[in-house]
Amino acid sequence: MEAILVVLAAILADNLLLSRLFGIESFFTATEKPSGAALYGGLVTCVTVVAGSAVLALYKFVLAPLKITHFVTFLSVAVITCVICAIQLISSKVLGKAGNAVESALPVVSSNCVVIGSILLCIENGFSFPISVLFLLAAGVGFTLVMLVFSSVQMRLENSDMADSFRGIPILLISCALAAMAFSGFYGLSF
Amino acid sequence: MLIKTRIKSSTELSSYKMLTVCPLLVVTTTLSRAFVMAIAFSVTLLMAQLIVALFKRIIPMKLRSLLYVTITAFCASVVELLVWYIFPAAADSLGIYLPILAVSCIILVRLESTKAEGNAGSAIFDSLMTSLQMIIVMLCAALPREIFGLGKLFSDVFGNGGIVIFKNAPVPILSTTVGVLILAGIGAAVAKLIVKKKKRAARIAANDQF
Repeated sequence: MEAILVVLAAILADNLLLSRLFGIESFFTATEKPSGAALYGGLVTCVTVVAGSAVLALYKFVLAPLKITHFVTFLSVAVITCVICAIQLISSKVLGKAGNAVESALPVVSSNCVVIGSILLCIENGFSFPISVLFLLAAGVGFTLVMLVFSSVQMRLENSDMADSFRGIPILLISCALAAMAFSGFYGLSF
Repeated sequence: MLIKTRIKSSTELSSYKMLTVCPLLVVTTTLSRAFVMAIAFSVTLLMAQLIVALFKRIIPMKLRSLLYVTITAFCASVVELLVWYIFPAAADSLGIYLPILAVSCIILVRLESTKAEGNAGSAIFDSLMTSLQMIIVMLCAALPREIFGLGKLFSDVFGNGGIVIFKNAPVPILSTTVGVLILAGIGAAVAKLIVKKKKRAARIAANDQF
């Protein structure tokens, strides 16, 4: 039961992008086409789950016994960087030329707040390991969902009539505010 | 690399800046919180820019963006410890947003420019200018949020105490994330308008000269 609640909360009510604005800067780089948004969201989910599991294991078996839990931020970023390097190597070996799109999107993933934010939230909330992995997965899926929604919203906004100074990012921010208001309607979801 | 080719003009750049500021703006519910966050941001930026300026010869071109993130994370960890030591209450109230400085896009973009041109002196100057802009933006966002969102002024980091201006907050939505997005959207539009007007004035002045 707890698992279902955590997953639903992470995807809908407590969506990291809409409730905390983590990773909002990726609106600018990756929401041109739905396919690009899906690729970026998929990469973020993948990195979040792999790096998050590694960080949580290291936190439990290395940082907590040594009482140096303050270094979890640095450790998370170091692990995320390693995971991204590994994915870069694997994608260039396995996918060949098709991996170019993945490779060009990867450095931006390293500076995405969703990855590190969800890992730190897991530690802050004190989830158990299986629930943490589910939460990380759900955070990534929630991010992908919002990116997909906004890639189509952006296409509609480009063709609509509005004041010139609002065109582009400003209207995107305001439509994001409306989406955040809608998603906050899921707040207090319980069974 | 971080700012992709989609930035077509300086008007777009000003809105992009607003977008990157957004995650930091969430904490600006009170002036004191915004101030602590802005100071933490400034110190992180200064440290990271100095490190990049000093070691820029040995940073390989291919791995630079990953190295920047790691350097920023190191600086953010140090700043986090400092904030916990100096302002424990503020660090407690900022919570997860303090370590998030490690992946702040503005810092990474500034590091890119330091690697491209600057030496240590210009890095310090650049970081001071960016920090000043950041402090102004954060305080400008915090002022309406505190007055209209909470109905108070100069309250502490948890929103307690301070001078009561409105007994019931007139626009409580301003103190939520939705309020940040609306404020940031309006701010980005105003910035775009100002840049555009400046450009028009410059063009008219250039035409007058001929």
